[in-house]
Amino acid sequence: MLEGLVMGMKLSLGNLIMFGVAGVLFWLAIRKDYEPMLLLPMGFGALLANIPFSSAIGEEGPLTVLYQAGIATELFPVLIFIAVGAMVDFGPLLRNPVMLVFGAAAQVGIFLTMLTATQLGFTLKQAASIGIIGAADGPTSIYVASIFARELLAPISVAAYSYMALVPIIQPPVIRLLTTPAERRIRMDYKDLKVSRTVKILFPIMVTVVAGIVAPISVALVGLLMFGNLIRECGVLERLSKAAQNELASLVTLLLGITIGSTMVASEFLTPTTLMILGMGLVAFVFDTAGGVIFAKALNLFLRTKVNPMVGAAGISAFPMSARVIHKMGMQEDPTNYLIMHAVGANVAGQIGSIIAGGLILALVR
Amino acid sequence: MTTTQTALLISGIGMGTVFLVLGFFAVLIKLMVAAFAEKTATPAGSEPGGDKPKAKEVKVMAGGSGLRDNSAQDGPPGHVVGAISAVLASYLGPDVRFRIASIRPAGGSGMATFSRWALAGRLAQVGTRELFGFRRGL
Repeated sequence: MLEGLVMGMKLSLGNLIMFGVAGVLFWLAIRKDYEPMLLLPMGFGALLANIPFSSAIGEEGPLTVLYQAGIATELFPVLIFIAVGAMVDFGPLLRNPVMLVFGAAAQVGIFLTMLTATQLGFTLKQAASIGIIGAADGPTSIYVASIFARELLAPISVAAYSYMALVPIIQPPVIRLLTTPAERRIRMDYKDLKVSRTVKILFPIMVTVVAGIVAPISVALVGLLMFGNLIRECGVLERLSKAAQNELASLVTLLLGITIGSTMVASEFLTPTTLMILGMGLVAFVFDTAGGVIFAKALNLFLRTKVNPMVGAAGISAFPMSARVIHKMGMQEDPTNYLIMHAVGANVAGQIGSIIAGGLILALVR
Repeated sequence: MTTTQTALLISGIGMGTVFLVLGFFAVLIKLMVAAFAEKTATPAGSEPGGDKPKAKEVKVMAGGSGLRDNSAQDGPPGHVVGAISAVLASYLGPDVRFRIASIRPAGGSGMATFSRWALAGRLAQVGTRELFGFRRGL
């Protein structure tokens, strides 16, 4: 016990600051309800890792073992993709596939942030990993960072998940800045087209094959997401679908969060690089939003039936948060304007867009 | 090539390819949806080649303080009719039109609120004017 007390005295200022960081993550998760499933385990992982002589990390520490087994091998993020795929309903997108162009446009944040990062002196692989925060897709960010820049995994994960949770705060000012009230009031017709089960089954198979041919390295990413979706849509694997959506998602998220948190050791996390990554993550989300809105406005120059440019901003992967934000903003301008189905379509397209962009980054930067 | 030049090249190729791939998916989805469109069965009661079948219609009759203007103590105006219709809608699917009717002559405010928060998409198809047209319909 005496030994423990003496060891406890060896708390450095860095350790104390990291306790504060863990506290902030707890506060965001518990009080603000921002991505609690990931931010809370991450906070606790950070707490465990910053206790001097912690047995949770180190050569035989269970969290280090989990890191080697699940992150270093890219296993956890890939398993998460199965769960995410089982949760996603591509129906709104299949009913209105034109929305896919917004899912492409909003990925511009990834590439612009990557360019910015190279300007700030990061290597190409590090810049690509930072840029992918702009995918607004936590698992893709973790997957790319765990391959290209494992040393930046912790700040990238924190930035990706924090900003995803902050979409309702980040997106509205950017959208307001780029649109007029008249543009925000634009109505869009919605046709409730019936999509057959055959299409819902063929879609994940088709995406896997096409994306796999374009960028074979993306097969793990896209393939397992679509595998999860096929389980959901095939109609004969309800038990597996539910297991993927609930048990698998919960278990892997829990392990992923606490394991990433355990890499937030003061000596590695409290660096100017972390601050730069957090700053660039925010820039990436702003670029994404602006990219989607500007693209929609540009489209309107050529379209006879105008698109509400706010829908372009929903082309990011933060689902369904971004769609809800757009719908709410539309209702604020005109309480009888219902943009939800269009925004959900663009949002689902963003999920596909982000994963395709992630796969392309992996293929091109290698 | 410098790192920035390489990043610029990758960004150009990357964005271009994302657009191409997703655009290709969009075309493919359009084709698939058209090719595998579900054939709708002839509804019961309609003759082949005859008149168009009447749209299914559900009348929701609701009353009570939920429909009154001053119903804050019981919940938002329209919450009764909102709750009933939301449950009905989830069971009946998208092809059903809703006629909303109050069993008392009041109810305008409640129905207007209802149209905002309870069943937004469905009522957007019906239209609030039509909705009001039915308010004393039963």
